[in-house]
Amino acid sequence: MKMMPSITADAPVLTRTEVAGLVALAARTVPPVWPLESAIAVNPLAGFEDVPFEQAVKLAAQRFGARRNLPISQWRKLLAAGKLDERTLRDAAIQRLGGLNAAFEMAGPDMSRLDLLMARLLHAPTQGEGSTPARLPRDAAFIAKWCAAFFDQGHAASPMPHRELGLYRATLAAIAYDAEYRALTGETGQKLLLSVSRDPLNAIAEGLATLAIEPGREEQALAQLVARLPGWAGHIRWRNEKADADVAVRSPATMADLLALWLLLARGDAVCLPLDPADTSGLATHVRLADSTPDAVGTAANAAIGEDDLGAIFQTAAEWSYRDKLVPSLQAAARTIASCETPDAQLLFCIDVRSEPFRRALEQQGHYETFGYAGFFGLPIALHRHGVERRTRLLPVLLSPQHDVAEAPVPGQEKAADAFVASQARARQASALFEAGKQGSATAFSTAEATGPLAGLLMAGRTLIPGIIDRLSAKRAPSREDVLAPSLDGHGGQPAFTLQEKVGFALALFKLTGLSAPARLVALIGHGASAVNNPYAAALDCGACGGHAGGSNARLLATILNDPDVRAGLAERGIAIPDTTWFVAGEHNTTTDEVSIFDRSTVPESHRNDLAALTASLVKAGALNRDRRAALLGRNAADLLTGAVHWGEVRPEWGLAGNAAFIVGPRALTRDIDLESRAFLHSYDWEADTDGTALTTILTAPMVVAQWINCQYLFSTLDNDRYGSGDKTTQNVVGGIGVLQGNGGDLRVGLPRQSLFADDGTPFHVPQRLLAIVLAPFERVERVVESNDILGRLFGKGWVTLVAIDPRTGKALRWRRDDEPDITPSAASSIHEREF
Amino acid sequence: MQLSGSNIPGRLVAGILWLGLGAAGVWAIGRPAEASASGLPLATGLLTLFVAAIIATFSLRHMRADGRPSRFFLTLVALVGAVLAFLFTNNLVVLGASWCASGWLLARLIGHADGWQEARAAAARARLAFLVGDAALLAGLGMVGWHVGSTRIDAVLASATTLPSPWVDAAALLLVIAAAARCALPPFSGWLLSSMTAPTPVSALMHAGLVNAGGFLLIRLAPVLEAAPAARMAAVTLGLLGAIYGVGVMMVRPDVKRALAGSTVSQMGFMIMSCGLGAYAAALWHLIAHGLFKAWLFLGAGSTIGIRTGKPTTALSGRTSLAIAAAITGVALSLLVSGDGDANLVPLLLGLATAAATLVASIGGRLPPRAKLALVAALVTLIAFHGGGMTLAAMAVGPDANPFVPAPVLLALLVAFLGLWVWQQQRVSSGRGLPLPLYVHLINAGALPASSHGEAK
Repeated sequence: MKMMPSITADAPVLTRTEVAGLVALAARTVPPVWPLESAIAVNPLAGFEDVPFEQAVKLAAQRFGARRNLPISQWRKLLAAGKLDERTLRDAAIQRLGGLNAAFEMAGPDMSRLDLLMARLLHAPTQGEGSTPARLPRDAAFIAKWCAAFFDQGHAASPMPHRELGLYRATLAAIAYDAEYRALTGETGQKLLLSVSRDPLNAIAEGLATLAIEPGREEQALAQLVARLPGWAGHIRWRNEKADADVAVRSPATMADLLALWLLLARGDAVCLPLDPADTSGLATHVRLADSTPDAVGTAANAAIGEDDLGAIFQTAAEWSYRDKLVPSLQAAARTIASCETPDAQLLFCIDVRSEPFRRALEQQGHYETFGYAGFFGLPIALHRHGVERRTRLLPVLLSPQHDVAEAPVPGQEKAADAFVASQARARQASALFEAGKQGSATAFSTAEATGPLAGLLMAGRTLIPGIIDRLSAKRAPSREDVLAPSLDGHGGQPAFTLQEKVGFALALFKLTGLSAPARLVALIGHGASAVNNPYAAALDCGACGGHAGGSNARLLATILNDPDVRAGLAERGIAIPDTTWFVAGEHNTTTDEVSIFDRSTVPESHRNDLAALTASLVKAGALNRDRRAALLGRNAADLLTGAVHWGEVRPEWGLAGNAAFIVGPRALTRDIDLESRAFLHSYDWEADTDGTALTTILTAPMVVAQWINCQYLFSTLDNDRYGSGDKTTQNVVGGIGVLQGNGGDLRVGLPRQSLFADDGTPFHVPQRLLAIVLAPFERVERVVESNDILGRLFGKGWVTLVAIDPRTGKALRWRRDDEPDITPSAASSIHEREF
Repeated sequence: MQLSGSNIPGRLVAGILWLGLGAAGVWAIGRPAEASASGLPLATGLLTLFVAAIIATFSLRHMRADGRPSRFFLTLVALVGAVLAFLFTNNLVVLGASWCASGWLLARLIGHADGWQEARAAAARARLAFLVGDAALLAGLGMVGWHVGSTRIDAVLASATTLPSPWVDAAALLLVIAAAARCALPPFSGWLLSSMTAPTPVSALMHAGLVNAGGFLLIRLAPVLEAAPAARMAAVTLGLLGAIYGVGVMMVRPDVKRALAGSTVSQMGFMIMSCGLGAYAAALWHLIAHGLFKAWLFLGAGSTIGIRTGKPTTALSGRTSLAIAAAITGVALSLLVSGDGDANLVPLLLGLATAAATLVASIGGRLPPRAKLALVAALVTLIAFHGGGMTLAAMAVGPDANPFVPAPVLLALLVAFLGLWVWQQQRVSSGRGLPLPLYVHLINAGALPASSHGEAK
C-alpha cells in the first residue's frame, strides 16, 4: 500500500477507547526498559512469550530487524573451545532434519542429508562476523531525538520547554520550529501541525483513518511502529507501569503520545517502513532478513535451512551438551543424599550464579552449610536514604514495595552518622556549585580554569593509583554502612512492619529454603558489585533487589530474626530457633570477593569467636574464588581489586555471563559438583513442602527472574546491536537514564558487548536457554506447573527446559513442550520421559 | 599490573608517553633561564604529554576489548608526535605539515569504529572541516613565509611588522580561520559536535589536546596577528560567537558527551577571543586548565547515570545575578576610567564574577555554617590555583599585547557576557528555560545529516 500524504483528515473510524485498547496491545511488543540506575534484566522478546521460542525469535527478528542467531563462525569457535560437543551437534542436526530416517536419506552421491548439513555446520564458508551498529533511518532518528530531549531527567540545564503538556503536545510545539521536521514532511507537515488533533488518541484515530489502515490490521501497524524504537518505547512502559509517580510527574508521556508522533510522520509521508504489514515487499531492504543465505554446498533440501537456522542447531546442541552432562551428575547425587552433622555456621546467599562458586570455596574452609534464597530475603521494601531524593526499591520487579523503610544511625554512631550526612550534603552542594559555574555564560571559563589543575591531579590519581586513593578515602571517612542502617522504624514515623508481618517474612525464609535446624551462627549474605565510572554498574548488583546491593535487606531480616518476639511467633508456627542461635548480615562483593559483615558490635559476646572463625573462612574463600575468577577474566587476582576501583575498567567482572541452569533442591544435591558459576541455586526441601506452595513460589518468582536474566544475556549475545547495547567505549549517557551509541539514536537496551564477549570477540556467554531442574516428586512438579499459566507457557513453549528428578528413585523426566509429539504410553502425563 | 591478553602496542605506547613526559619535565626544570622563548611550546607540550599518557593508561583497560589495539595506540602516539612537532618546530613547513597530519590522524580516531556508518560519516565531516582549516593555514603560512623569504618562524615573527598591510591582514585572517576550524568555532562547530562516535578516551584527548591547537597557533604567531587589527577583530568576533553558542548547546543537550562538546566550543571561543584581545597569558592558561578540566570530564562521562526529579541546576536568582553583574561592571568602569584596563580585562573580570557568584551561592545554601566555611576555603584554594597558573602562563608567554580595541568596546564585550548570564540565570532559575525557537535550533546543533533509509545492510 502506498501511503498518500493527506492533510484533510478522514473522519476517525475508531473511538478513543478503542484506540486506547489498540495502543495497549501494541505496547506489549516491547518490554519495559528499566533505567540503568536500577538496571533490571528483561527479556527483549517478552512480548513474544506466548508463541514457541523458535517462532518468537523469527517474529522478533523481523519486527526489530535483528539477527536470529550468532554467526556460524562464532559458534564454531565455541565448538572448538569445548562449549558444546560435536556428537551432540550431530544429534541436533538429526532432529532438525526430522529424525534419523530423514537425516540418512541420500542427498547426492555418497552423501546423506545429514552429511551435507554437518558439512555446512562445520566447514562451509560463512557470512559476515556479526552486527555492526546500524544508523537509524531519519524518521526514527527524528523521533528518537525528541524522545531524548523530552525524557531527560536532570541533565540539561535548560530542558525541553512545555514538557508538562506531555510528549506529544510538547513535541508538536517544538517541531513547528524544527527544520528537520520540515525537511521530512514538507508542506504537508506544516499544514498538519495546524490541523492535527492535540489529543494523542484522537490523533491516532485520525491517522489510522487517513492512512487507510485496514480494519483489523491497526494493532499490527501500531506494534510495528512501537518496535521501531524499542528503547524509548520500553522506557515509556517503565515510567508508566513500574516507576514511582515522582519520575514522570513533570513530563507525562504514554505510548499513545509516541504513536501519535509516528502517525504524524506517516501522514507527512516520512515513515520509511510500510505501515501495512500485509505489504512486506519493502521490508527486506530495511531490515535484515537473512533468509537468502548463499548456500555453498547447495541442495534444495538444505537450502531451506538458512544460516540463522544453522545457528539455532548449534544453540540446541549447546543446550543438550550442557544438560546431558549436568542432569546425570545430579541424578547420581540425588541417590546418595545424606544429611550432614550440625554445621558450625549456616549462610544464606542469593540464588545469583555468582554465589555458587563462592559457596563452594567457603564450604571447603570448614563445617559450613550454605543455602540459596532470593537476595532480597523476602522483604518487599523501599529504602529512603538520607540525602537521596528518591526512594530505592529493594525488591524484585515482579513485586511492588509494601514497606517504606528509613535509614537511621547505627546505635552508638549517632555523631558519626551526622558527620556522614553533613559531608554528603557538602559534597552535593559543591557539585551543584560546580555544575552551575560550568553552565553559566559568564562563569564557565573561570570555572574551568580554576578546577583544571585539581582535575589534572585527580585524573592522574584515578588512573595510576586508584587503589591507594580508594584506601585513603576509606580511612578518612566511615562508610555509609558503618554509621547508617535501614531501620525497622519505617519512613514517616510509623513502624515499617507489624509483628505479624515480621514473623511472616521470617517464616518464609524457613519454608522456602528448607532450613530447619539453625546453627549457632546464621549469616544472611546479600551481594553487590563495585564498578566505578560504569553506566552498567547496577547490572552487576543484585537483581532480586531491583538492581541494587542487597545488604540492607539482609540487615533488616537479621534484625527481625534476632527479635525475641519474632522468635516466639515463629515457635508458635512450628519453627524453633534455639536461644544459642544468632543471625548476622553481610554483603558479598562479587567484584572483589570480599564479604563485609554488618553490625558486628551487636553480636553477643558468646558468638564473637564463632564470627571470628567465620570471618577468617570468608577471607580464605574470597581469595580462592578471586583466583578462579581472575583466570576466567585473563587477569591476576590483584588486578581484579584494582579493576574494581579503576575508572577506566570496562569489565570489572563477568557478572552473570554463562548463566544456564536454575536448580531447585537441597545443597547436598549440588555440593560435590562444580557448576562453574553457571547455575542459580535455590534451596528447597521437598519433604517439608507437602502441599507444593514453596515450590510454586520458587518457580513463579525467582525462576521467572532467572529466566529474564537468561533471556537478556541470550539475546544480547545473539544480536548485540539490536538486543544489546553495543560497545561501551562509544556509549553516551543520556538524561541520567541510559545510554545512546555515538551521537544519538534509540535508548539502548540489554547489555554491552564487553559484558558478554571476550576481548578477542568470541562470546564468553554461551547463548542458551535456561535449564530448570527440580528435585521433587513428579506428581508435585506436574501439579504446580499445570496450575500456573506462566509456567505452562515458559516450559510448554520452550523458553525454559524443565527437568524433574525424583528424590526417591533418582529418575529424571523432562517436561514435554506443547509442540512435541507425545511418545509416552500414558497420555495423561505431560512429563515426557527421557533417558539421561 | 597485568592486563588481559598481551596488548603490547598499548603498553609500549603508554610507557613511551610517560617516559616522554618525565624527560620533558626534567628538561623543563633544568633548562637555562634565558630560554624563556620556549615557554609556550614547553607548557603546551607538557600538557599534551600528560593528558596523552593518562589517556593511554586509561585505554589499556577501557579499550581492552578493542579488536585492533595496534591501530588505536599507534594512531594515538602518532597523533601526539604530530602535535609535539608543531608545538616545538621553528620551521613553517614542519608546522604546516604536522598540523595537517594531526588533523588527519584525529579524524581517523573519530572513525575508529570504521564498521559503523555513523563513525565514518563523523570522520568524513571532521576531515572536511580540517581540509578547509588546513588550506587556510598553509595559505597563510605560505604568504608570510614567501614575503619574508624564510621558512624560519623566528625570522617571520621578527619581520612581521614590516609586512605590507593588506598582505599581512589576509595572511593573519587565514590563520584565524585555521584556528577557528580546529577550535570548532562557528561555522566549523559541526565536526566536533558530531564526533561522539569516537571512543571515550579519544574524545578526552581531542577536547584536551587537539582542539586548543588553534589557541597555540595564534599565540605562537602573535606578532603576525598584532600586525593585522582586522584579523584580531575577526578572532574576537568569532570567539565571542563561539563562546555564546557553545554555552547554548551545552544547556540544552540531554546527553553527556555532546553537552561537553558544546562546552568545549564555548571555551575555545573564549580562548580565541582572548588571543584576539592580546591577553596571551590568559589564553594560554585557559588552554591548559581547560584541557585538564575537559579530559577529566570526558573520561568520567560514565559516572552520570542517575535519575533526578528536582531542578537540574542551582542557578542564582535573577536579582542576585543582576547585582553581581552590576558590581562587576562598576569595577570594570573604574578600571577603564583610571586607565588600568588592558587586554586582560575581560578574562580577569569574568573570573571575578565567577568567584563572586560561587561565593554568594555557597553562602546562600542551606548548609550548616561549618560546611559553608569548608566550601569557601575550597573556593579560595581554587582561586589560588587559578592565580598561580595565570602567573606561570604569564612567565611562559611574556607580556600581553596592547588592546587594540577602545575601552568602550572592551566594556561592551564584558557586558555582553554578563548580560547574557543574568538572562540565563533568570530563565533557568524560574524554570522557563530557553525560548522555544532558540531551544530547537540549539538541540539540532551539529546533527549529522540523516541518512534517508538508514544503513544498508
